[in-house]
Amino acid sequence: MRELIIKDLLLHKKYLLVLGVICPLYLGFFGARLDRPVTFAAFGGFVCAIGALMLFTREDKFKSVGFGLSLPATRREVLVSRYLLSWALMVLCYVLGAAVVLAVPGSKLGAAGFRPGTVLAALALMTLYFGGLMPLTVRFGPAGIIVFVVILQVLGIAALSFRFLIKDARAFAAAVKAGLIATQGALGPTGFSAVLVAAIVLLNLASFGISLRLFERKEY
Amino acid sequence: MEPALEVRGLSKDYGDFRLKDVTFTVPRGYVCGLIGPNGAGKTTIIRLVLNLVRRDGGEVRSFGLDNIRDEVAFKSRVGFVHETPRFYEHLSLRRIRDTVAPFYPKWDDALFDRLLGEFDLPPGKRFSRFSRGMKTKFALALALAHDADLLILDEPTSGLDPVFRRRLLEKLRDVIQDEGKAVLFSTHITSDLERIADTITFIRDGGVVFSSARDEILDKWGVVKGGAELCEAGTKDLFCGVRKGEFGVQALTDDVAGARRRLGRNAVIEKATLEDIMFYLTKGNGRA
Repeated sequence: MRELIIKDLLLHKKYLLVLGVICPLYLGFFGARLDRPVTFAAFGGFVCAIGALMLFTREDKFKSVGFGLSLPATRREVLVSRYLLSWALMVLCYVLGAAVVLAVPGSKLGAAGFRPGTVLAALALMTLYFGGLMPLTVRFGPAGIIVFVVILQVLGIAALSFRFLIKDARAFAAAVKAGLIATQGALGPTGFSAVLVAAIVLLNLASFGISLRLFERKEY
Repeated sequence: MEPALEVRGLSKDYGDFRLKDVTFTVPRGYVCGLIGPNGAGKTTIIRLVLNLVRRDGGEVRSFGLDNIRDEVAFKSRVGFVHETPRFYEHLSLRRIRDTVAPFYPKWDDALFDRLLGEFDLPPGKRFSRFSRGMKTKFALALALAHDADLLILDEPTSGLDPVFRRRLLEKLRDVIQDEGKAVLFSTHITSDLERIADTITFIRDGGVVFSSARDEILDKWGVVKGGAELCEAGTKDLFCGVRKGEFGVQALTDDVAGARRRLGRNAVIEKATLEDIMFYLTKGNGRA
C-alpha cells in the first residue's frame, strides 16, 4: 500500500502541487463571495472531488495503467490507495480553501460558515460527487467525468421538458428537507452527526465495492 | 521442483478470437520461445499470465504460485518487457526507478545504475524522449535490477538495432546461467530463438501447434523439394504445408526420416528453420 501511494505521489507531483495552490485559491476567491455556508459546502465539495478524480484519469492519458498493474500489487490494493489518496487530497483542498476564504478581507463567510455541521455536510456532498464519479472514471477513464456531466445535462433537459414535474420535485425536496430537520430533532445534533458519518462511510464503501468490481473486470 | 512457468488449459474468448486450451511449461534454467504469426494469441497469453486480462479457464503457475491467488508474490518474481514499453512518459528514468523500486524486495540500485550505463541510457532524461529501442533497453534494465526469476519478453527485439539485439540475447543467456531463473520470449523474429531458445512453443489461431525442445523440432521438421509428383496420393500424408511453384513443389514435413525413406532420390530434403515451419504451417495449404 505504501509503495502505491509513494508511486502516485511521485507520478503526480506537479499536478498535486498545482492543485494544492489553484484549488484553494479558486475556492477562496469564489467562496468569499458566497453568503450561505451550505452553498460553499456544495461548491467546495464539487471542486475538491473533481480535482481528486482528475488525478487518476492522468494514468489513462499516459497509457501506463497496464504497466502499473504489472507491478506486484493487487487491483484491490491499487484501488484502496486511490481512495485513500483522493480523500486526503479532497480534505486538504477543502481545509486550505476554507483558510483562504477566512483570510480574504470582507469575506461574507465567517468562521460560522465552517461549523462541524457544515463541514460534515461538505464531506457528505464530497462523498456523493466522488463516490458517484469514481466508478464511472474507473470504467470509462477521463470520459467518466464527461459521462457524469452529460447525465446531469440530460436530467436538466428532462426537467425543463417536463415542467409539470418540477412542482413535484420541489415538493419532494421540501419533504426531504423537512425529513432531515425532523430526524435531526429526534436524534439530537450528536446523534444526527453520528448517522451522517455512518452514511458517509457506507456510501464510500459502496462506491469502493462497485469500483472494485468494475476494475477487476477491466482488461489491459 | 516446480517449473518457472506452467500454463495449463488456458482459454479466453473475445468473440472474434478464441484462445483454446493453451498448455506449455517453461522449466527453470530454460529460455522458452513463443512463436506464431501476428494475431496468433502470443500477447494474449502473456497478458493472461500477468493477469492483465481475465481468463475464462485454465491455470497459470510460476514457481508454484498461482498468478491470481498469489498475485503479489507471483509478480514480485516476474520481470516484464513489453513490445512497446509504456511507463510514465513525463518522468525521467531516475524518477521511474523511484516509483518502481519500492515494490521489489530484491531491488538492486547499484545493478540498475550499472545497467543504465551499459545500455547508454542517461538517467536524468525523460522517458518520452527515448526511441522505442531505448525504451526496451530501459524496460530490460528494470526487469533485471529487481532480480526477476522469470523474465517475460513480448516481442522485445522488434525495435532494436542488430548490435543490441545480439547483446540482449547474450544478456538472456547470462540470466539463465543461474539455473533457478527462466525466460519466456515471444517473437516472430525466429532467428533470435534459433540462437538462444531451449524450447519452442508454436501458437496458431489461438491454439498450441507444438511445444518441444528446439533441437528436437529442428531435427524432426524438414523442407522437401521436388517435382509435381511429390503430391501424389502415396506421399501426401508426409506433408504439413505445401507450396506449388513454376519449378516444382516445396513442402514441409514433420517426419524427415520417413520422407527420406519413402521419397528416396526423388526429392531433396533440407533442414527446416523455425521461419520455414512458421511459414508453411501458416501459409501452406495444410496437409497435401
